[in-house]
Amino acid sequence: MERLKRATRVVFLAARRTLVPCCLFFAYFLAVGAMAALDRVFHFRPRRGAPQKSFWEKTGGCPGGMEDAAEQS
Amino acid sequence: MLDYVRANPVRGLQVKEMNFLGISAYYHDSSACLVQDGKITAAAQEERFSRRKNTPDFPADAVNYCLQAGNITADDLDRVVFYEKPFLKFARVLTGHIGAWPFSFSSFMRSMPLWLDDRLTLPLTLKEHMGYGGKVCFLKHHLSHAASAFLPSPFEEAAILTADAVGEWATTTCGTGSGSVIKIDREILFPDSIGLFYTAITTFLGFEAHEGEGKVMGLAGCGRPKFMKEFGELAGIASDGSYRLNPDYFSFYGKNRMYSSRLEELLGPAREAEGPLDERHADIAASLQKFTEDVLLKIATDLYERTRMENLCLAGGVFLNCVANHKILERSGFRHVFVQPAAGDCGGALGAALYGACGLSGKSRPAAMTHAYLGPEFSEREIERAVAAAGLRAQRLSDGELAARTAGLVADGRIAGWFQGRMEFGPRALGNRTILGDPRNPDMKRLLNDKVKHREPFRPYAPAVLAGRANEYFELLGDSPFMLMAPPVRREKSAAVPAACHDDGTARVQTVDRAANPRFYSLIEAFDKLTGVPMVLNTSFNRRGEPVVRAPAEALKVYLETGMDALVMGNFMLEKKNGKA
Repeated sequence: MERLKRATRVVFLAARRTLVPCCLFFAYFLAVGAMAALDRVFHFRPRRGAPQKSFWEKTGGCPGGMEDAAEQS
Repeated sequence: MLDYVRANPVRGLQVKEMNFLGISAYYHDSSACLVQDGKITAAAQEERFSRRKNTPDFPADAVNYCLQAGNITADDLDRVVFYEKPFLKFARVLTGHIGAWPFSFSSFMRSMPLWLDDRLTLPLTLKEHMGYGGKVCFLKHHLSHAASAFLPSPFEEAAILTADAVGEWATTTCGTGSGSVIKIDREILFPDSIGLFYTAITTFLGFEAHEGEGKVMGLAGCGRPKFMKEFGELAGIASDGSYRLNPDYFSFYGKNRMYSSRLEELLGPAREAEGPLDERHADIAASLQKFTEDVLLKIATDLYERTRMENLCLAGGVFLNCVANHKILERSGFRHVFVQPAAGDCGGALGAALYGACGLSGKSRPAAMTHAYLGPEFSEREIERAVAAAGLRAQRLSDGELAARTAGLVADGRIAGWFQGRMEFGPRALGNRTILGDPRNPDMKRLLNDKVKHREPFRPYAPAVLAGRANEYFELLGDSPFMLMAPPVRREKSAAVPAACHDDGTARVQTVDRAANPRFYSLIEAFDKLTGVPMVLNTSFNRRGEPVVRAPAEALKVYLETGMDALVMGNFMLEKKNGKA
């Protein structure tokens, strides 16, 4: 049983070592690439350094207190 | 609409002694801080334990130290408060990769496993590292900075300004604090960042990001701001100080360097790391410093005009810039300025823990932070044991003898290590993990550099001066207990303390108060009695590229492996004879 467990773990680690980079590779070229293409076509973030009256952004209406902070528990 | 952030008690929660652990990690300067019953019990940076400078790793040892100092276990913690919101930050990082696609491939492949392994699953990481399975809260990065600046400040009411490289999205924020309520009402978002701007030019000048900014500040004192016209190209600045960087000159999106080739067309070729430094580099540094001061001063002045408050609290890595801090105090209109001593990301842990404590336990704000001695300390026995293990013998002295003997050594032009009490929290050595020198000796900077520190020759050394006597030597407005103000040296006094004066006529002053550090105060007092000069040179107890020492064994190692002449640890003194221990 112990042997089987150990063998399974070795297989799992080897698979993870191969699978994670593969998934990331595809995620990068497919998902991130698609978003990059959309970004370049539609110019979601057009911005220049030309002076304006103000570059401050008002902070969004985020509620205060620790309830807002408690994202995970 | 205001981002209304209120530290109020949660209904139904019993008010009892509560333990809050703040953690900052995964960018640079990881640290932990424990707040018990509304008081700051302990805080330390992980680099001091791991000996890896500015380490971003999970601060497991710093957490252990904090729990030990508080005499509790992880089970006794009521909350762990993390200093930023990982998912928001992850979204920003991902946007960066999209913006730089396909050039961000290698950095994407490098960083994503780290995010997936522990950064996005912090509760699991906490369980794994410290066996903590309770609740975890996440504050916004700049709210942690704001809390670290305002909550331990001596002010009941104050304006708050934070600026650093980048948190989740915000890079600069301002707001106000009253009681234990903090309101952040304005922010500037990534990629517009005065902190990243400073870091980008720092790397352009051949220094390391997150490490070389202080060097550039020192280099600036040796140059003239001849590149202001060119710097005007790099960012648009509004009359209220808000700014927008010109993206043509910077690349913060996953590429190997933070600036584009256009910056080299504008300012000339970038300097190689460790390459020769010339006048142009000093002038670029001076221009960067002036540009940064102008931006910060405009923001602070606008904040003053909007709030009409007397007090200002500052935090975020940008406010480790002591030259800019003093100009803000001098010219913005605020009468009092408090700068969090751990202004960089390590202070985020302190802000997070304090915000949690004030918010959840309903405790009032802690007493004003008058010192930063929150790290580990070592008993006489531990010191004796370390000395014996190194095969050395130390002399034990009384408190009076210790101050007089050490002052005598320093006055004789010798370099002494000074290791006392609890280690400082934050990047500055403030008299407990310090190397001492004589400020009257015009050759002392060179001696310190040659024998111990091996720093770049243009970097200044700081004076630690008796609080009540600082004004005799420096044009200082108020106190500077955390070495975060750089006032001009009075012209008539600069010849008396040449080693403490920087090329631009300023000094990075630490004012020492008897109540905050009686032993360090006595030492400077003894030096004053001997020489008539109420200050010593104070530089951090480390070698170039290493973190400040934490334990006696580390102090002994520096003592033995450098040209340091003497070492004082607790009441023990070690002296080298003819350069030999």
